[in-house]
Amino acid sequence: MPAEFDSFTSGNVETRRRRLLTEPPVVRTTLLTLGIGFLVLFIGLPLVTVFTEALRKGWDAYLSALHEPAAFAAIELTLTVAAISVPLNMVFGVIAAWCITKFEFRGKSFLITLIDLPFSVSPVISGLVFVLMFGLQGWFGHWLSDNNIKIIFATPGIVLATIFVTFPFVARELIPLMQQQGTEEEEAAVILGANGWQTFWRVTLPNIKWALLYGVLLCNARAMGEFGAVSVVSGHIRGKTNTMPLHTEILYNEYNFVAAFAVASLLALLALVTLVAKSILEWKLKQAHALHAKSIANAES
Amino acid sequence: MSIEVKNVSRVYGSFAALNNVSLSVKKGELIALLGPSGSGKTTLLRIIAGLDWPDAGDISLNGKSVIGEGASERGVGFVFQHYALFKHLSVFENVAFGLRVRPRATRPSNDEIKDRVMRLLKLVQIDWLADRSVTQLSGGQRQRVALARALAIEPEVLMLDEPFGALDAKVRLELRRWMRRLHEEMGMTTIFVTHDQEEAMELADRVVVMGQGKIEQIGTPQQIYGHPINPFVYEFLGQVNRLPCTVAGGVATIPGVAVEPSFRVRQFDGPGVAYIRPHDLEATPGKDDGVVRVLAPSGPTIKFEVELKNGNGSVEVQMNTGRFEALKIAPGMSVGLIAHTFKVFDPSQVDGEANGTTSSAAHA
Ligand SMILES: Nc1ncnc2c1ncn2[C@@H]1O[C@H](COP(=O)(O)OP(=O)(O)OP(=O)(O)O)[C@@H](O)[C@H]1O
Ligand SMILES: [Mg+2]
Repeated sequence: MPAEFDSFTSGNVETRRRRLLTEPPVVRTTLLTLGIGFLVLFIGLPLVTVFTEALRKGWDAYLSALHEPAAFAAIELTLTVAAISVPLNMVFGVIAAWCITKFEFRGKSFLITLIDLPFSVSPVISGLVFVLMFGLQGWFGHWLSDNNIKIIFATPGIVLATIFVTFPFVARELIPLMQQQGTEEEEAAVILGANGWQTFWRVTLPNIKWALLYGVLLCNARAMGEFGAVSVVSGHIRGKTNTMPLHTEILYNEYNFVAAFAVASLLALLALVTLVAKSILEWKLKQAHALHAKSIANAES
Repeated sequence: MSIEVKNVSRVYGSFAALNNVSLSVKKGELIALLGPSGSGKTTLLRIIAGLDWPDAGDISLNGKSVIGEGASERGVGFVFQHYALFKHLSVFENVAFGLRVRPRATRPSNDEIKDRVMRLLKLVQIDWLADRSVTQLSGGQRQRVALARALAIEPEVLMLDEPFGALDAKVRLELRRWMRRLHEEMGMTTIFVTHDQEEAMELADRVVVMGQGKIEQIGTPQQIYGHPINPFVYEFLGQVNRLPCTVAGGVATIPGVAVEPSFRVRQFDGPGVAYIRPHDLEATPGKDDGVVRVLAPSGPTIKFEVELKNGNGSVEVQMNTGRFEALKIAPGMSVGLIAHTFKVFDPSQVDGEANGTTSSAAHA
């Protein structure tokens, strides 16, 4: 029955699409020009600018700008922060999504809201929260300085802020998919003798792997590109606590345009790679969804 | 493996899905759980398998309480209503799953796994599909994979939740016969859920009729069909005419319907409701109890409605087509009615009006 229903609705979409294509040519061309023009102006142009500005004084200047110790340190820090926060968020995200979709418990909807919190709060506020907690004047400030632990204006603070800001990506990507898939396959695994770990590795993970990768990808892009929250907790110590976005801003403020755009170009490259990977994953995800829908339809037909 | 369910209750929020259910199943029996939608069949099956827990009561397998054991320790084979096959695995790997997840000490070698899986796939007649993805199978083929997967762990109990529910009538019949044979060959204790009374009657050694979280009756198909203990079971097992009657000294009188003179009602006296199956009623020309209204021929028998003259509604009659034709009954004709056998229940047990025809959910 669902299969029939599907073909029915998709038939509808088909006719609607055909009707769109039969709009008068003038309208069509205008709309298309507008859309493409907007894209070029607001997305293509800035991207091109980043690369032309970075390469304005040639390859040598570009490469030496990246080899400069402070720039190098910024790249290193950014990679370190991402290397810590992304895997952690991947694990937390999977655990959170697992709890929410596979168990019934009180306060579930509150937990879902909580997961979204980092998205609804300004990143600057998120950063400030960490300063309030771990800064010298903060709640744990005295204890931390007595024990000689530095969090704010140091790498741990940056990692914490990044984890906070990027937490929702993985969980939000997984929850709808896992809700759709339900718990039947897991139950089947358990009844066949699998323990919790085996059930996760052999059944749950294969079913969510594309969505998980997708979430991780977005999480990583944000972790490397985050500015606001990191800016508040970093202290902007050159060569020490500057991530790439922060370093770009400093260079720019110092009128060192080639260097600023050189660092920015790396971030832009990351964005481009992310984009390509994202479209591949979206395609894979669509396949996985279709597969699921098909197996349900077949089971009920 | 014998199964003992003792006073099991399960409450969801404030809704009692199972209310003090007790059932004991002997080793090697084939049991059908029969009941309308929402009567708690799946819940009971899941509790026995360890996928859900009772709020009260106890479950024993082979005389040992398993209430503290999880589903993975009970060694029960389970076929889910929608099969719940592992979508990302091939047919072969689906069946091999239960063997591959065993602890190393008891895990068969790869060759043994291969042997066993292929044997099972042959048994369920889909060995030629071993390398297919399960997403490319038809419903009937999926059903067989699910069965082979459940059998792979060599369970002592096999439970099937509406195993044939999602299949078309022909495949259903075929698989049903085949399952009966399989049960005879392997002899493991089997419980299956169905809301199709015909399926339950044909397959099971004993049928458990459930309604509203309770067990209404347990018995062999003959006992259940021949001697339903209450109106619910009676109605659930097939179409039935309900007519007011009075019983005095074992002799029943039904206004508008003659009663076979030798028929006696046992253990009942006073006003009641007669439950008469359509095929236990016969129409005879030359009398004037009612008028024939609608005809529905269906092969060897014919069904028709007779509107009673006394205003008690209409009754459904099912007759042998040969006899029907010999009597030359036609729509609009006045006929007499005679009831050969029926059952009388107390009006307080019966809900709804005491006249007219009802049909079971399963019959539709
Ligand atoms: N997890 C749950 N939470 C709340 N109510 C539930 C839950 N599972 C089952 N129920 C309720 O318990 C009752 C019995 O459900 P169950 O699935 O056992 O019925 P069933 O006899 O298998 O019906 P069907 O023939 O439709 O499968 C239903 O009314 C159902 O709504
Ligand atoms: Mg059910």
